Amino acid sequence: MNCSIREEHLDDYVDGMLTEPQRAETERHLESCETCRLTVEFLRGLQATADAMPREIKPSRDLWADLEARISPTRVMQVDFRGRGPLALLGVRSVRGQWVALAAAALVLVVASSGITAYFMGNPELDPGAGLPGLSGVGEPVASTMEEFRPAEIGYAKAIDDLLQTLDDRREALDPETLTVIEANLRVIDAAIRRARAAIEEYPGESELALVLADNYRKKLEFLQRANLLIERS
Amino acid sequence: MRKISLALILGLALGGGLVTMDATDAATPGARQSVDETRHASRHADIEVYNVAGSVRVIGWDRAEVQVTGTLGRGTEGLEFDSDEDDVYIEVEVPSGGRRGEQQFDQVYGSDLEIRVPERANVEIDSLSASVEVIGVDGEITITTVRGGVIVDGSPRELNVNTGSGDLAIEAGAGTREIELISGSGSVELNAEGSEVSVETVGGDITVVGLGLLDTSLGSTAGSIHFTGDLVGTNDYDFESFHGGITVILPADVSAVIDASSFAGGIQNDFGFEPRSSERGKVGKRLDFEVGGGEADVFIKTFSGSIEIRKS
Amino acid sequence: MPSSRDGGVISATFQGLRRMQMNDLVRAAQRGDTAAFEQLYRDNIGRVYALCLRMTADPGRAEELSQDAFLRAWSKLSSYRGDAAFSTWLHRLAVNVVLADRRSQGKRWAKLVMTDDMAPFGNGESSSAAEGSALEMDLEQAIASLPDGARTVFVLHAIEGYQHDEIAEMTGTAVGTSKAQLHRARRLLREVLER
Ligand SMILES: [Zn+2]
Repeated sequence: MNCSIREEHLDDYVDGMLTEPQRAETERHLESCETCRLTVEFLRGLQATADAMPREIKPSRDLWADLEARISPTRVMQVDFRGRGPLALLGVRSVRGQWVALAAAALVLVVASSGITAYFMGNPELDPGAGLPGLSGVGEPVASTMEEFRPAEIGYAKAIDDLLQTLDDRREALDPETLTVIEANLRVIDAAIRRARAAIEEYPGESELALVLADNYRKKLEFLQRANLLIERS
Repeated sequence: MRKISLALILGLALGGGLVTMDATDAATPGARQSVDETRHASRHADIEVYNVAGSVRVIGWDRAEVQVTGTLGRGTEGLEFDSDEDDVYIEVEVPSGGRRGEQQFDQVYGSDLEIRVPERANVEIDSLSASVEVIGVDGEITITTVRGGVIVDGSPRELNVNTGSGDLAIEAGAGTREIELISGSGSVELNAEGSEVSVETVGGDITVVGLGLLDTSLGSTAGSIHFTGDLVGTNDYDFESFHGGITVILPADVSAVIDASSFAGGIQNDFGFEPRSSERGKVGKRLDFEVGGGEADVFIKTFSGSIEIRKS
Repeated sequence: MPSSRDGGVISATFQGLRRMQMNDLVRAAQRGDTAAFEQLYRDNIGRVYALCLRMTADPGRAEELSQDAFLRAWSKLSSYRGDAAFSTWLHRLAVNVVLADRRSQGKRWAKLVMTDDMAPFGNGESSSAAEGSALEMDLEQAIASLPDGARTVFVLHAIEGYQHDEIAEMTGTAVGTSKAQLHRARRLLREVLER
């Protein structure tokens, strides 16, 4: 460019971001400078074309089926409320003090999860040396294939099943929106569990992945426990 | 779709019927009762507040008194407000069998309370969907709410918050020793000074700005983690998210051992050390280095998020 | 050319109705109604996919990210309070999903991706895209050829209408960076289009 105007300045001019005196000065310059005039013309044409571009483009295939499989409560929660959807769980809420069964569920959970801890602790090959493995426990290899992890997973599934079933038994006392909150959170954790499982299958031999998966299961148990506490206290 | 909507409408209609009956028993339907009551209480009283829906605002003041003002939801059965100096109990009473169907529930039972308490009192608040705000209270604060948002501004000695989907916005001053925040899908924003901090979420993003924080642990399943602050002595600073990205911004002259690893994401580091592949396996990235005197322990781990370690 | 951005009372009324319907759907979806969520998906996928496609210039990646955006929307539905229109909320969320993915992919800013496969932009099934003029198609292709950083800012600013401060916030950069990338995008587009 042969003139002193910076192109960025013309950007601002076209975008209407100049002050009034700056704008007036730029317009005076444009009258005498063809290079800048062409730039402005291009920028205006570009924006006009951009404005005319379609806002919607359809993907070449329908993505819903995959998406549905990933959000469906039966798939997502693994242990569903025995086939009943959220609708069946819309129920009458009781007053305070009727939450004994849920507290009991939390107790079941504690017992069940300490069972898992015992599983890890009691098995020298699987014991990471830090009790229930967590993300922060950079321990020795726990299990590096899904095959090796399966016994632990069954333990977790059992604990989760017990808890969900107790929730199910008390579903009439559950506030539907609370249930929505719980389900939404469980879905997030379950997505993480699925992702970690897939990674273990994809990269057998990556021992830390088992810790990651175990950690996600632990989080699910803790979340259910907290969920009970929330329900109990509210 | 249609079936579900119909069932919901039926549900609401039935619920509405129940509520109308309750309301005609009590007072004029639709009327919200206002409250303004004061009780004497000790300056270190334990105060328990239970309000199922609506809002709770607690403000510390320099008096040995608890004052409750506000309005009660038209479906409620009144306010229980007891004090025996050291223990204060405040509850919005809700009829048994009251139906918890969506919006109508909040409308019928939602009560707005403003409560003034001695500034050094310990406060415990439980709710289902009320938004909660606590300002200028120096005692221990414990808040449990399923889906209400929580705001705290002050220097509570200890702060404990547990929510399902509510967002948390916390400003804690230098007097706070311990902060524990737990949320499901709600986000957490925390500014704190000199305390120990533990934050855990499922999907909510975590943003912490800290000044001289002691042992700190921020963890999430799917939320991102954003930490800005200095590090003190040999404290531990843990940042872990499964899906979320983690950004840790530290002073240029920080003294720490930093161990960062990501299984599927990248690592960017301002301190001039390059990440390497993790030793044990073929995938994943790990960055392990010492800066300054190597005093504090920083542990950063994510599965699929990316990590940024920045100089402030 | 018919466009959804035509003004007029009828269109405004129609949009008002659509928004009300959308709010009903959102509430149902928040209660876990997947059929309602499917409708939200059908109503919004075109815009979300267009955004993902333009930001990534990679149809396969764009499909994955569109799905991820809806998944994230589903899991965050309870936090949607109706302050903004659902489509705006969703759109913003989709931008964040794409940007987060970009960050996790590491730095690729300097890479110049040329794409010959313009089929996804001219998909016959798409009612509006099919009507794209030659000029628009050229621009579409030129945008796809931009480096990531410049393309991101151009798509967000020139097509999606976000302001520089919003873009800076979303990308975690400074306003100046956003402006510089926009300028760079325009300069590169000019080189490509006027060649
Ligand atoms: Zn000129």
